[in-house]
Amino acid sequence: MLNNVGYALAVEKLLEIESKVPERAQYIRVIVGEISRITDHLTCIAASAMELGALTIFFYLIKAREWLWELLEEVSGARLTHSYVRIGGVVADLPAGWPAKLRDVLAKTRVSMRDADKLLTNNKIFRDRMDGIGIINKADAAGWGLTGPVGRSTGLAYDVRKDHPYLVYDRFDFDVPIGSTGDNFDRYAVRMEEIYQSMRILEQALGTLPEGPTIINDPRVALPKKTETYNSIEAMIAHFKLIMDGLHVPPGEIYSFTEGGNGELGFYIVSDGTGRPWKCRVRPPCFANVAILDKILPGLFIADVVPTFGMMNMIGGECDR
Amino acid sequence: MATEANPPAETVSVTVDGKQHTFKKGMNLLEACQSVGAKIPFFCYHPGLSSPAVCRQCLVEIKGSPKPVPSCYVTVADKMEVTTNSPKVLDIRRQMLEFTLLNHPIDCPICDKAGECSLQRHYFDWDAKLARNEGDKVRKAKVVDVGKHIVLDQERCILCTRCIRVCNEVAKAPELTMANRGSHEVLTTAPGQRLDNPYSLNTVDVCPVGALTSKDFRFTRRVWELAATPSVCPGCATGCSIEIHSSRGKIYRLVPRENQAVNKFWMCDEGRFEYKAVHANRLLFPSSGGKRAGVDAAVTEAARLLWSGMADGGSLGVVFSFAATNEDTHALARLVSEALKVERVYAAGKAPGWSDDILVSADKNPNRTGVERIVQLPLRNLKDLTSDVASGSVRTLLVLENSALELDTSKLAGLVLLSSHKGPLAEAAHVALPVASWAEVDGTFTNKTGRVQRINAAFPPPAEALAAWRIIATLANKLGVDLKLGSADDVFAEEVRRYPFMKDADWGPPPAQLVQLRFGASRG
Repeated sequence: MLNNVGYALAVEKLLEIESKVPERAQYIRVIVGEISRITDHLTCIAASAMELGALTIFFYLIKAREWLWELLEEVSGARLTHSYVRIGGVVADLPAGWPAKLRDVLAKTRVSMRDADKLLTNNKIFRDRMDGIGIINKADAAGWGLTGPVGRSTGLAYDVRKDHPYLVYDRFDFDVPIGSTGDNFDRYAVRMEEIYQSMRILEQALGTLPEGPTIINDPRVALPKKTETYNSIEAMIAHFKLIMDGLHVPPGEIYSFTEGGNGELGFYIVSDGTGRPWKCRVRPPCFANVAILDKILPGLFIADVVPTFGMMNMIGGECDR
Repeated sequence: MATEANPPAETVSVTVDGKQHTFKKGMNLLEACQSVGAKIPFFCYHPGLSSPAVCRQCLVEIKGSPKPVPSCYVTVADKMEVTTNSPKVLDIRRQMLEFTLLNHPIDCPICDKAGECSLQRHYFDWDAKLARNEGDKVRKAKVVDVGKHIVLDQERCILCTRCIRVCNEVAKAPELTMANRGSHEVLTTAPGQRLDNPYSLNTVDVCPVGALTSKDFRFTRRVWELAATPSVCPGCATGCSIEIHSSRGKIYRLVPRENQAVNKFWMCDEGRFEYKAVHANRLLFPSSGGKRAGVDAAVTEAARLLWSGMADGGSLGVVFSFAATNEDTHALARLVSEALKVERVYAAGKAPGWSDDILVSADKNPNRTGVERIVQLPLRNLKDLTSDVASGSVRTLLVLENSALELDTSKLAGLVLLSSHKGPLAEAAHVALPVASWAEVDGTFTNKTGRVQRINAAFPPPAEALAAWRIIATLANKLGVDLKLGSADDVFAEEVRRYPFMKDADWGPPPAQLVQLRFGASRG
């Protein structure tokens, strides 16, 4: 969902329609984005703990992730490969009763998080593998372009949501946790705290979610409703043109960036005025993050590669673009 | 100063959207506005036809006129002040589109025109509002078999009358007409008529929507999957400019390309079916002694046969083809003069056929003029060839194309054929080498007026076929002569230096990248 949002925002900036995206859609984008961030962090912690032998933690956290994914599946129809955000809004409103379900899931997730926290954070076996391993200093983090939890673990307080607010993030009260030593444990701790901060944002967003449309009212941008498409020639043509010819974006270029699960997720798009981007380059955060492994791994034990690489949270599909 | 010998400049000054411009006197207002960048949509106007002003899309405001005026119907006048984009004009345009769409069927998913449809484009550009009508649409006849090549869908027709004018003004065959009135008005054939004039498929090209579709093309390919390659029709000596519309090495249709000097906007129906031969009955692999052989082995054997022919006291003959490009002809002419040193050359091609005074020529070969001007030796004809072979004075033959020739080959000691197609001569040949067809090579044709026109390869030749000039160059090599021909434009450059009739010809820019026919790249 974070990728969905990042790309849509980039295209909307080129189209100069950011301000016309309905408020409800912007809130919904924040909500699904923060859920995605939580699932990302949960997966990272769960998998890393498992790789260090703590299989119980894996079950606790992955179960929580599954509850959250079920919610995303309910809005987007897909468990993992979500396609819910559209240029100009989101494809459909939240299903009836969905916010209540999310509140319920968040409460359950807090319980799982508490259990994991109790079992892991002060566990000597876990701490021995994490503390002081894979240290990155703040200057290196800035120099290598490290962002997200990895960058923040070094004390670099950079979060796109705070430093360059987009959507309606400036309306929510949340903190950006930072580390001090930049080791594996700091990266773990930052992620744990970010989950709680995302929950704070979600609770505020649910509380202030405005009513209204969920996609821009512009037939040259938004697809008409399916019933209209099947029953009127006007909507049929609009649908046909948008699907087959694409959404025509005025010539120009844009670098638009958001806070992804692993850090600054950037989209650089060049439009030549046609319905397809002339160039579309993604800045995947973990591509930059992984690059520093070359510097921090030498000198460590082979066994240290496991938690260090785990805490970098390299996602193949994100890194390889 | 204006005198009788030096009349005043024939120009008028017109203000278009607040900017003053100078146009030639008598110019059509729509064309004038377009030429200075004003965007005006239209359905019924066509640069090659008269303007009936029926679609009302091109309405503009002219200062002093009480009502908006169809710009396609007006000629520019001095001090005219035109507005093409005022709120009133835009509103009228939108309303006219709403009317046009009122009874238009929801056919885009099954309509062949979808993707190159003017109605889709104009609706999206100038209207883009959702439907307001709630009643049923007026139903009309679908799948009306109006002619040999054409199917009519009366529901899709937006009554622009372009097709009627094509029949009347281009084909001079008034076969179509409008019947009934208002919402019930339909396009139909005139009483007792069918739409089957030799130019009937131009109606499909000019149709802004999918009312008239080609039986040959419909439901074969969505248009945005096609790539357009500029070329020249090989169907007759007129040499109409065309576009090859192909996808993955297969041609789906040939359509005319604007060329004011030759075919304007049109081409004949017969020419459109020339593409079928590109994919039928092709010679794909070289053969030697009746057996499949590698290209190199076949060329070596061909060289040996020609060598023996040369040694056999002037019994070697070479047959040129009126269907081959200037480049192939030039390469063969050089082989004849520099390697084979024969005097006995022939030329053959397709038999003459019907003609008219519109576009169709009696000579069904695309490059007779080119061959006659490039080959410096006296060209003997098919009759000479038949009698020379029968009398035994020619015992070895090198033939380019012409695989369909009916020739008694029993007395030939050697027959080398370079051909794109199978045929009786390919069966009889001692060595047969497959060559590329006109759709697969970069080259030029010379039409009957001596105009040298460029053709472009739409896709590579099939199987082991190669451009004929390339095989000829290899053959020359085997015979100990280096023709130094590296690429098609090398051959062309050499022709330009050598032949006076080609001195002004231009190869043009490097073959353009194929253009996907996405929403009117070249059509609509």
